[in-house]
Amino acid sequence: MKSVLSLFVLFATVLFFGCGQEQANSGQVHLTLVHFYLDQKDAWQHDVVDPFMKAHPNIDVEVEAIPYGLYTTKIEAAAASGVPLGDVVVIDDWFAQDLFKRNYTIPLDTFYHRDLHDSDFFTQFFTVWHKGNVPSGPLLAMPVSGGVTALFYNKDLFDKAGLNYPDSTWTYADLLNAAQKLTNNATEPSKKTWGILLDDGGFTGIDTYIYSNGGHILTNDMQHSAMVEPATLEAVQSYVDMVQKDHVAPPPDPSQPLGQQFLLGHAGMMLNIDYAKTELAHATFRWDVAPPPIGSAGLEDRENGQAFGITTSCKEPDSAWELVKWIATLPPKQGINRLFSSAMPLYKPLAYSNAFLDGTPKCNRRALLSINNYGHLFTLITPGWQEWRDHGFIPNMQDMLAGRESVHDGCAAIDKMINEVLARNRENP
Amino acid sequence: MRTRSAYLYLLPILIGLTVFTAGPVLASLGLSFTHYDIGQAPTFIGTSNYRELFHSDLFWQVLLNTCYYVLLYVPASIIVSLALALLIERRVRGIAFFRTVYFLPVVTSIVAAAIIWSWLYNSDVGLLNYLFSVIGINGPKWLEDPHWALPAIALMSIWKNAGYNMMIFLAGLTSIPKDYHEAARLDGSGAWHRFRHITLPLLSPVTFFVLVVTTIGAFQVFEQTFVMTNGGPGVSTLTLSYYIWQMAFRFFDLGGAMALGYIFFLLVLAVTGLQFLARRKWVFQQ
Repeated sequence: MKSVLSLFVLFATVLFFGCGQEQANSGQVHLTLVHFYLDQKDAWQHDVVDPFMKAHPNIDVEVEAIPYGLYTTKIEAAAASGVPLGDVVVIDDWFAQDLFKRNYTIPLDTFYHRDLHDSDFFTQFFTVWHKGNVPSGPLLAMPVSGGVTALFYNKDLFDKAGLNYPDSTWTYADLLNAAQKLTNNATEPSKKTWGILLDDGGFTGIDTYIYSNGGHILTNDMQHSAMVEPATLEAVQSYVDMVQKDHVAPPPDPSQPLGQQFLLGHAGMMLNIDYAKTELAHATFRWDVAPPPIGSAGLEDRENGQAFGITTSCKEPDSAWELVKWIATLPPKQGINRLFSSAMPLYKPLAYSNAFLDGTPKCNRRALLSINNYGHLFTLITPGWQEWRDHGFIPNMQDMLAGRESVHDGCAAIDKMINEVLARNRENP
Repeated sequence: MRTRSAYLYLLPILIGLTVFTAGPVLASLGLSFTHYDIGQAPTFIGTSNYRELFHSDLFWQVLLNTCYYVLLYVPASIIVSLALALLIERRVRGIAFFRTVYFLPVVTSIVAAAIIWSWLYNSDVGLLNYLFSVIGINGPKWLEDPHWALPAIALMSIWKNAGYNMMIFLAGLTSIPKDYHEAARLDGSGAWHRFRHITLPLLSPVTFFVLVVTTIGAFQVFEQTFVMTNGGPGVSTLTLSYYIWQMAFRFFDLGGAMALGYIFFLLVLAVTGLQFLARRKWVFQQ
């Protein structure tokens, strides 16, 4: 029995140290890349990971793809356990600050300034990737793609109405004018056409509308609500008027995903986040995108997107940075835009490449890129933001848009909810 | 020795119950008195979570929504299930086909059913309003109208779950001795009279079981509101289970979610307790 035990211990020791020695001698580095692009897992392997490993033979990358619905919970649970998941992780803007607060990722400023240049990136999108949403904070993830609000339009309906297509010079007066001409008086649902579909509070257009028209949802320091400021009330009123007074947009229908009426060809325009273009790939009508119109305050757009961070548990940050840098500066290649769900690459050589601009679904990506030249970005991501959005902003916006609540009362209710949630989160940081 | 080996056999289930049921239940009670957001260690805050809920207008609205749904769903569901059971109890040709048809929604995925019903309820292109329009009725804006959304969800739930209770009622009906009905028939009793004075009393233990189980299930409504309305329009279909899920997995306020979970548990316990108390008044004891 003793000899069997000794043999086992010897075997285990040889196995343990032997393997470790081999790894140390070979200098092979093993990294785990964690992402949520489950439906693009193969594309990520073929277009990103395999070429990277070929160019870096000493780095071995294992990919762990997690369904999007589980991703945040897994990441949060990993943060709680104090052992971050993987070495390199993709992060969405809406939960980034939460992870940064818990030191989930390491600062990348030194790496970034050593190897990359601001001039190669749309750096306006970088703010939310700095700790505390301020550019002076450490850069805790490398931004890779960005999303903007876009004005989608049905070219067939525009042609039928004899209207010029929207462009970057459009104002909200132009939008209303076109919406009025696109709206018909049909009572039969199958023949009804609305001028525009509006976001009912999910921050896929309404935020851009309010800020571009001089209003604010939050104060500049993001510590309080700005929903009852006169400019905000005015902006919300004009938004609600499109449904209640001008009758160019349908009231909200929470049972249908935003954009359903547009997808069915029953709406001439739609303000929505630009990721929506992937859903329009199989539309049966001709469509395109334009930048959102310019309001009294110019073009203010909410910044969002995805970035890659290096976790604090990563043992090989230099190698991990090589992988992050590789992802952030991908060379143009056909089909590259599907990697980021058709969002805008923040690396200019890729964004201005034909591989991205002419990718499928075909649309005017150049127009969206032009937002970088004249638009200004803002963020609404505060601690507890989902709570004040889901329980305050969305229900009250739905009530206002459906005419069940006045703008004054609705905005006051949202204001109360935002301030309550922000105060609670200040008490329990 | 025999006792010891019995405990040994029981050990796996005892461990399972302790680790996966009793442990989490007790832990969640403790955590309901903490501020806990998954990412950081819980900090004790006393009864703050409970006080915040009781002072929140939204909580009372959600409670009202849930109770309204239970009141809409439970009686209607039991009546429909019993009616179906009475229909399919008859021994006629092809009855197995109808039994299968009525039971089909039970085994249909709730998510798929909810998506299909969303389309049926669509106020513009939905089949339901189309059928109403054929007979000259302007149908309501089912899921878009806060007054109609919860009844619409209750209606869908009745369709979905009626088959399950129908099978339980059917089992109860077949256990009623035929002699009682035959004797009553010989005495000249009509169908309604026999149903009222024989079937219903003898079926009351089964009805009681169905009532308790259906009420608990109704309080737990989640998937329908999650898929069909996301709690909207406004907060008109936001129910307790959905609210708990939102607090826990959207807002990561786990302490608050656990407090809400315990309030929910006590509510269901109280209602079930009342049902048991009222049982003596109407459940027939043989």
